[in-house]
Amino acid sequence: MIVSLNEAAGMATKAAWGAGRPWGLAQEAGKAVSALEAMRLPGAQSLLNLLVTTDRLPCERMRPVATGKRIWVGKGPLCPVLTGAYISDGGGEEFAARLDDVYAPLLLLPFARLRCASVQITWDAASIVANRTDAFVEGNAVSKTVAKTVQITPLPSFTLDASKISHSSHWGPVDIADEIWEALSVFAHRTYVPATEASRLKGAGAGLTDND
Amino acid sequence: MADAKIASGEDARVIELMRPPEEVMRLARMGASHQTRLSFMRAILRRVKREGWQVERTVWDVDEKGVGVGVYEARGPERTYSLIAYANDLPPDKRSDRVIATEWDASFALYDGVPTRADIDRLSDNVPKQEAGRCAATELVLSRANRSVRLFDYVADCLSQGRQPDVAEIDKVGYLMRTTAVYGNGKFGLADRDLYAAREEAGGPFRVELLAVWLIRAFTVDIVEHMARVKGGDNAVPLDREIRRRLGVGNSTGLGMAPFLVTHPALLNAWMMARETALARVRALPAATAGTIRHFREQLDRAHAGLKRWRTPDERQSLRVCELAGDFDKLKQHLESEELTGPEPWNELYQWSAANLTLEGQEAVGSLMIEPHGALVDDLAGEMAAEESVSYWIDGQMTLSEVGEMAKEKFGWAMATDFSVADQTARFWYVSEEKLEPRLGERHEEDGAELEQRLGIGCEIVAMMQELEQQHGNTLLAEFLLRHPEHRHAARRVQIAARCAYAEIHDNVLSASMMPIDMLRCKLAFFGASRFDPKSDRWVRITMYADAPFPDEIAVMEADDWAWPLIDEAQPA
Repeated sequence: MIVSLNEAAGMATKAAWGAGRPWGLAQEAGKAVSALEAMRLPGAQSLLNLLVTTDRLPCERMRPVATGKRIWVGKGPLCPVLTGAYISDGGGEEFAARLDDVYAPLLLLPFARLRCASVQITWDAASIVANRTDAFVEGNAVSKTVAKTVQITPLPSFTLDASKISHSSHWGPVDIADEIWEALSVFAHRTYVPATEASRLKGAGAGLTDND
Repeated sequence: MADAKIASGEDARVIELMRPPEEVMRLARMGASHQTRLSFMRAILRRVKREGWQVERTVWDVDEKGVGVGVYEARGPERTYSLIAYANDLPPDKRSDRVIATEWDASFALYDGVPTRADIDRLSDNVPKQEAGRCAATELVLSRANRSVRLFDYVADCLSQGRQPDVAEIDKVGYLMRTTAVYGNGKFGLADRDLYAAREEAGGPFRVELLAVWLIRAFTVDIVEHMARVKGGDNAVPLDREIRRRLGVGNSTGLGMAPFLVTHPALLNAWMMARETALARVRALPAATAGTIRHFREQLDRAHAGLKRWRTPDERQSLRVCELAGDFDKLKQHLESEELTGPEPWNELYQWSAANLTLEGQEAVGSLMIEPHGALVDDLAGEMAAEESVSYWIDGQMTLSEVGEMAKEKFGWAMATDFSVADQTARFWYVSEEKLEPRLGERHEEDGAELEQRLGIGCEIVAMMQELEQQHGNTLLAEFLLRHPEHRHAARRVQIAARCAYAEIHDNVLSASMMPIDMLRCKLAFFGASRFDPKSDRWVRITMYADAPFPDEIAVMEADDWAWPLIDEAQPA
């Protein structure tokens, strides 16, 4: 499905909300997905993997509890959106951190790169170096399983080595696989209120003729 | 005003005279908004004129039933934008202005550039389906319109018989067709706004959408003339230019537009800030020139006379139009003795209107005062775009006591509202499963409130404040939000409100007494709409571009002298 980035963000927001994330956090999930998709990185797929494994799980069970040291751990695997929002908020004394057990770690990237000029995120399957507009990705950025150890390292410079840029942000439509879009739609659908005849009649313009 | 830093660069007296958000951002006043010279339609036509845009109808392939396609190329100095119009022969039982409709009299796409035949064919399979079709990033706008059957058939009949329609009949409706949606910014596969936001001609708010509407207006006349020719053959005549100019494009707008103002706080702030800055700049002028006074008086006369064409069967709005006429009478009487020769004469006049006129009158006078001062304020029309993402990210290094103080300062109205009273949370906004139509529910009577859209910002702020009272004041916001992510939305809005004075409506949009049309009118006035005709508390019809030049005459006419039409003595009372 070819979609605009605005549609991707809207779908991701509704899907995250439908999967039980609070509204403000769901909005950030939407922003994160569109930022990744703008770089042609698999944001929608990552969010779907996250939501499928953490559907309706309370945030309390997915947040880092021990922060301020160099290792962040939770009661269970960490939600990358909740943890990412904490990073972009400026939380934690030390930003350079090791996170143990993280779902869909690619989703940390849009948040982490707001915290500093550029950043490196590595886990067992992949390594990403990124600034606000470009990225260099090695390995497989999509994780279906929990990443055991994720290392986030701030880098001092805005500029990436030009020969080492594999992904750049650009606005424009993105191709999201139909099955991913459909699966996100199922979560999003939970946020719609079924129509009743009574609500239909109360809708704007109901009951009036438009042949005038 | 407290938020001086927001209007940085302005003279201290201008900042002092800016109306505070507590006054401006009330729904009752927003619901009395009028167009100004900063309104988007007016800014577009000024540019079209200044840059010498050429508009040409390059394709007209419409059959005897009125089915087919037309293409209008609008060529600016840098780029061409093309309206592709698909005309349809719609059975009356399918004509509905509601978003649940599936067929329309006409459907439109604004194409980025010049479409090939292949583009026109591709879009012919999609544009007439509207929400059920798909566009591509080469399309910027998707829209549709229905005929005003009464006026359309009447005008077609007259022209087919070789005579001009009666002006009185034209004025009763004011348009041949009304749009029921104008979509942009990535909807249904259209180009994301960010793709063209950097273009000078397209970067302002709703520029491409309202350029499309201006071209649609030309199509509505072309199609009625086409039908007249089909019917009358050689007897048919084109529509007289003076009569034609009275026609705008109608628009029917429902609840879907209301949440926009709440979900785009930075943009709402930019719009309000520009308009309020314009008004304050005029009020801060130490003296008025003879030319501006004359201009003001002329426009006042025209606005007054033009009220005859503001017709609405809606009891509330009809009364308000009468009151506005009374306000204009009072103002004229006042101006018999007030020569505007004292110090800060426009400010004096504004103060007088605030003390003596209704909200409709006060807002109309504000617009009229801005009118003669194009050289002083028109630059502000270029300051009305805002990217929400800039003010989006939360500063978590703030302490909770700082956040609490900020919330108390910016959301005093919400703190003073008792949300435990049923009437204060009577409504909930939601998206219906059926064609994703935005609706308004009654919380205490209907199901579905757990899925409400988060538009009740005041209520959310109060809920966050209650939680903050349980916390240590020196805790960092980031730590609090990690444990309470349910308050992220409220925290974000507090920080946006601290940066953007006019970002928030200072009223409770969940209240039983809230009128959604107040939000619609505010937004539509910024577009440049006029003749607001509410059909209920949640649905309004308007007219766009009435009295404005058509594409084939803008080169030889004033581009921006149409907001208050010329007085026409022949016009019926």
